[in-house]
Amino acid sequence: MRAIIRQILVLSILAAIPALISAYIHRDLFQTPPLAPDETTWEQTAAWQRAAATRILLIDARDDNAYAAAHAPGALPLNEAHWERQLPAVIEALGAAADTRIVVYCDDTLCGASRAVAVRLRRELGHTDIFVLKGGWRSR
Amino acid sequence: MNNAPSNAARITASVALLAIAGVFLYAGISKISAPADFARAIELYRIVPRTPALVVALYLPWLEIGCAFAIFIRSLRAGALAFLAFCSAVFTVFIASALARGLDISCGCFGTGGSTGRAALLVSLARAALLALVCAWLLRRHMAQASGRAQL
Repeated sequence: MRAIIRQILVLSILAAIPALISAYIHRDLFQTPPLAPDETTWEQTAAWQRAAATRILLIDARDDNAYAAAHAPGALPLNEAHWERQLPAVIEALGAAADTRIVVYCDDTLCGASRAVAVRLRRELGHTDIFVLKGGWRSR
Repeated sequence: MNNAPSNAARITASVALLAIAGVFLYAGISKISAPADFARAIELYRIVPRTPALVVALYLPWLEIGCAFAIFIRSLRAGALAFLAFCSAVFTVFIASALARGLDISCGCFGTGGSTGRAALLVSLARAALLALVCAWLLRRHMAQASGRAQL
């Protein structure tokens, strides 16, 4: 048993050398990535809402159970599973106002639902002022 | 005639060693070039946060490659097999946990681009469990042979 532990230690040290070089090469991965041009935060969204220059429509891209449990004030549900049923309410909320900014959120940074919904909204409605909320519901 | 079973076991063990080395060499190489993608694959299991996932993503592929080569070095074989058996057992637990929680992710075992969904995860679970069992069997066999040689 002692020999096995010693061998694992040797292998771990040997692997640590290229791993450290790789970590140095990819050191930027340890920094928080900046916001993409189509990403926003809760703080920025709240600032937009306070400014009142632009109407904000929040879209909750999580599943229906999560939406029913809790959601941001005024947010409308829209997920790909129930797209056809939920989209009319979004279109109605958008109305004729061309200056409405849509902010889509899902669970957290790991969920892809908000981005998928944002892409589909851009494609189907032709609306371009759409942001994805980085960090999602859990970062509020 | 009496040597037939031991010869068969020896050939089986040799083939299994080659297969294990090949699988982990491929797994390591496929993940080295894109640590960010592998870190994200680990994060998607929702078990460890981003920083530990990054450390694992940068370190584990090199360990897998090191162990794949160490399998062919008699003085390091036991350690390599023990580590790979442990790794495979951990992968098995991770994948089983993802399945139990209904996560729609790919296993991330061979870098990015793997299939997602329950069926793909079940295949990954079976593969990880099989790898753990084969590594454990090879380790046990190697230890038995080593103790046999020591008694001579």
